[in-house]
Amino acid sequence: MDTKWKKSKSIIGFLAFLLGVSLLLEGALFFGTKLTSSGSRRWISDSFASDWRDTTEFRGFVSSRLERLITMGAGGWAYSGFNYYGDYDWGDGNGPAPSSGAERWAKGAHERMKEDKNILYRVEKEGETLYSNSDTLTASTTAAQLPEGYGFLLQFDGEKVRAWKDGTELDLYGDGYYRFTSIDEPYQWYIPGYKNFTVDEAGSKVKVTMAVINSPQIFIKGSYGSSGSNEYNELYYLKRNLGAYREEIMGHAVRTGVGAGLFLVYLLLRKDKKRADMALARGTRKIWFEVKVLAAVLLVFFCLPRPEYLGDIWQELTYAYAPQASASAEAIPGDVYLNGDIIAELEQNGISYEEWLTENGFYDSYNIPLVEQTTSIGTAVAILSENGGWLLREYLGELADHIPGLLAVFWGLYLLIFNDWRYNKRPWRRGVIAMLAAWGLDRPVQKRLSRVCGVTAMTLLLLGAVNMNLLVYASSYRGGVPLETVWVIVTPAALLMLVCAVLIWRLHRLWTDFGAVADQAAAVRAGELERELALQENSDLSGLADDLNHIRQGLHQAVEERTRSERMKVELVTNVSHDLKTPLTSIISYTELLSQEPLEPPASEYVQIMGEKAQRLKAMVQDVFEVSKAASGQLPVKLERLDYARLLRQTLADMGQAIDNSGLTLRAAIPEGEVPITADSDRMYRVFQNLIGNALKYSLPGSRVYLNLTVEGGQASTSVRNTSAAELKPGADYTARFVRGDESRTDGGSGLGLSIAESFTRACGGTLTVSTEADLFTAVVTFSIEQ
Amino acid sequence: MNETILVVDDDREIVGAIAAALEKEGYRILRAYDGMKAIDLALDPDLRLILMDVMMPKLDGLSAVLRIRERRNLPIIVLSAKSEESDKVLGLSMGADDYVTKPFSMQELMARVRSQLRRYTRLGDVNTAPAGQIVSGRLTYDPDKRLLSADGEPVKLTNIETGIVDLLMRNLGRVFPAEEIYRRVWGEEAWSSEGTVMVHIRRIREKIELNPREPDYLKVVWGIGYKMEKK
Repeated sequence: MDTKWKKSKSIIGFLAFLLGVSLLLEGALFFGTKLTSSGSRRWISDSFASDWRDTTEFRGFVSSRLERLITMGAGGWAYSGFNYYGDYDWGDGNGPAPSSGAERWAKGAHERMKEDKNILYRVEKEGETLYSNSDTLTASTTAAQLPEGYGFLLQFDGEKVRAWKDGTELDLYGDGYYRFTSIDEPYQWYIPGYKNFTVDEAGSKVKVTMAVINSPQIFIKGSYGSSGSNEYNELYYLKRNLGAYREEIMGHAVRTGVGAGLFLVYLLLRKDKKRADMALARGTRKIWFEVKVLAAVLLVFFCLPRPEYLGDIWQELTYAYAPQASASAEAIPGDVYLNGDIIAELEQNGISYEEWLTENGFYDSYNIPLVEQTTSIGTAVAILSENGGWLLREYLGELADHIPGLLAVFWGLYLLIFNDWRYNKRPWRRGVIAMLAAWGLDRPVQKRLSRVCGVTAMTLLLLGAVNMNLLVYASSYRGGVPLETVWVIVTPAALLMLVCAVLIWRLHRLWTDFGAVADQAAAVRAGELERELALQENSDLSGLADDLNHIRQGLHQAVEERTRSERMKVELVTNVSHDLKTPLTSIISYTELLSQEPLEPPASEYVQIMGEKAQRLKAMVQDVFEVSKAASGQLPVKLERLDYARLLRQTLADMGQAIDNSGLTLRAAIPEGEVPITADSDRMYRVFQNLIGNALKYSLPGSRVYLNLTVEGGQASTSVRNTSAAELKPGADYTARFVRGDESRTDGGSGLGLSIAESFTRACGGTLTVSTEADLFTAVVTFSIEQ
Repeated sequence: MNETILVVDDDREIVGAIAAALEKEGYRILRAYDGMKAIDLALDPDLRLILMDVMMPKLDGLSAVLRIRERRNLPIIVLSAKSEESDKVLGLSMGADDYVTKPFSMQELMARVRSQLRRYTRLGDVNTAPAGQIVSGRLTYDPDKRLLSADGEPVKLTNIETGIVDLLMRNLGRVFPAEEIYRRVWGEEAWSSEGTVMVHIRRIREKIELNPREPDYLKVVWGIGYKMEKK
């Protein structure tokens, strides 16, 4: 239950994040582009105006309608908003055919406008009504006399214009001067009557009265006699568009608000959302890195709008590289001026430049290069930098029209790149290149080398991707891309990638061989001398491998020889010690028998000496036998868990008498508790018997011997320290066989005591180290503590 | 006493030395210098004990011991230059009653001979123990009388020593730390009991072991404690 809730919480958190960010992104783009564009700003303020008749749109519309009506009255031609259709069949019973073109046009305009009762009008000239669609409306109609539903009245008296809205007269002229207003300022009434905007002779004879309905309707008059129905209701659509625009903005605002709310939900659940992220990352981890990058690149390519002006920039770039031949061509003569509007129109109609030029007869008469002359990348850069802000706004505007694509790119990158890199450590390790580069390499040095190359390969791959990107964008350019340019851009990149691939292939072989050589060296060091190192044919490292093989062979032989001689030595010593024991048995036995015979004083002393020496010889033979066995690793040990501290206490108790007799003082410091180690009980007794025995034997008379057991860091160490009677030779290896502190002394012992102690300790898994400082002799026996 | 002992060794001087020592003690001696001869002489009905060397020409000592064992049940002490534990175990498992390593001390050898003879002649079959008594090799302990005998001879022990022997004999083969021995024998806790216990152990050894320096029964397990060997 709990985990279920946890799971749904993370799903909720993630969905809130997804939706919230999507909505916020959309809102940000929408408002960002609308608020930075002055035209849109005016539209926004218009659509939110409390009265639609206070808007710039309304003023503009009424101004242009007035202009047309005056023109109709004055006998001129107006073009805006209406097309002149040429000859028109006026034989519809509406009176005689117009005499002049201007009159024909005016009549036509009137025909189109008159059914639109949103605007009532009357055009008079010198007191005679020319055109009107209302019987009630006269030049003398006041605001109060307007028909029901009409609140706006405008009168032109041949000089000036007056207007009333809902009975109140409006101030139309301000300070009396007409200025060109930029598009984002409130629109001035474009009407005659300013001090700098007056009426001509013909116009001054015209009087126009207009009344505008409060709520525009659709008026349709079927004109089935001529060419079907006509609809004229611009004012209706004007008002409706303002409302629709307001609703659109409101809709965006609501969605952005919802997005912000969802984002808040996400903030509250961000820990749960993180779990969802991690789950997603676990999913994306399984995908190869290259696939992810490629998918991301393709997403960017196909889901983002490709701005067309990039094509223009591309054009600049390509012609910078284009053959110089075009520069020698004649320039376009001044009277053939191709402006942006014509180009846009041609584009819209799918007509190419050349076609247009040919059709219009330009192509034959002039040798015209297809484009304006641009000869440097610098120009392109200049264009970019000068128009950067505009380009950006333009692009943002395009993005705002491609919200689904943009969201796809955004979330695709979030999932494949951002989230993946955030929770999956080093995602590039799970990729084809990484796997190929690291294939069969597991030494740290190899990995480091392959990583360096991996970075290079990745960089080149990225470069290649950028190139692809450029090509894709270039292909969107209408004029196509010159082949030379493709070569210039693609060839170096392709070459680089090829070289890199070959390099990595070569290097990979080197690394593999290097690893094999290193492995072999490690194996030789570990004593594995049988294996022959075989590298691939003509490897860079074959010389090194050959050397290593020779070293290994030499070592192998040496080790075998040593093992054989060691074995022989042990056999020899064993045999000799057995052979020595037989005569020694006789000597000891007869000496013993002899000592039981009644002998005169000097003879009895001799017998005693013989007995002692025979006993020493016996001890030495036994020691030699044991030490040679131990040295060859053939000493049998019976390992068991025992108490190091107790071992020492027992040994001291056992040797108590010897210690007392030695005249030395033994200071022992052994901790109270148990110190468990694993060793052979009897062998360890021999070790300490020998160490303490040595100390007693070789110490300065009356000096102190120290025995300390210390436990530190899982190691238990016993040190036996004594002051030597004889001078110690610095640097002598006392654990070597037959080395004694005092070379001249012959009664000491076999010289094997320390050697035996060292061998036994080693056989039990411990270490014995001997150090000397001045005359202080220290032996330390260390074992690991058993847990 | 006129017990006959067979001494076998390919080294005549060693045979001579042993014979001299044994004759001094009043034994009758048979001499053999190889395994085959030993088997022949082992048929002597008066024979009571054999001292047998291991490494000999013609037939080695251990094989001879095996062959003799097929016909006669008498104590055999093996003498060998091989001092390894494994050699001893091998010798004893082939039918030897005791194993003495060369070079040996004549005194110890005499003690071992006496011990084997006493057990063989006085106690008869060594394998049958009197009811209620604890037997380990040469040692017999009567828990009721708190009496320890070695080779059938009662051993004189002090109260403390009897306490230690009682504890160890009742638990043959078990290793006791010094503190436990002290607690159970002395009946009180002790801080440094190792030295005290060791002194008594050594005294008991002097009384029951043939060679107190290389004890067969009362042994120290270094780093753990003390035990009475089960044989």
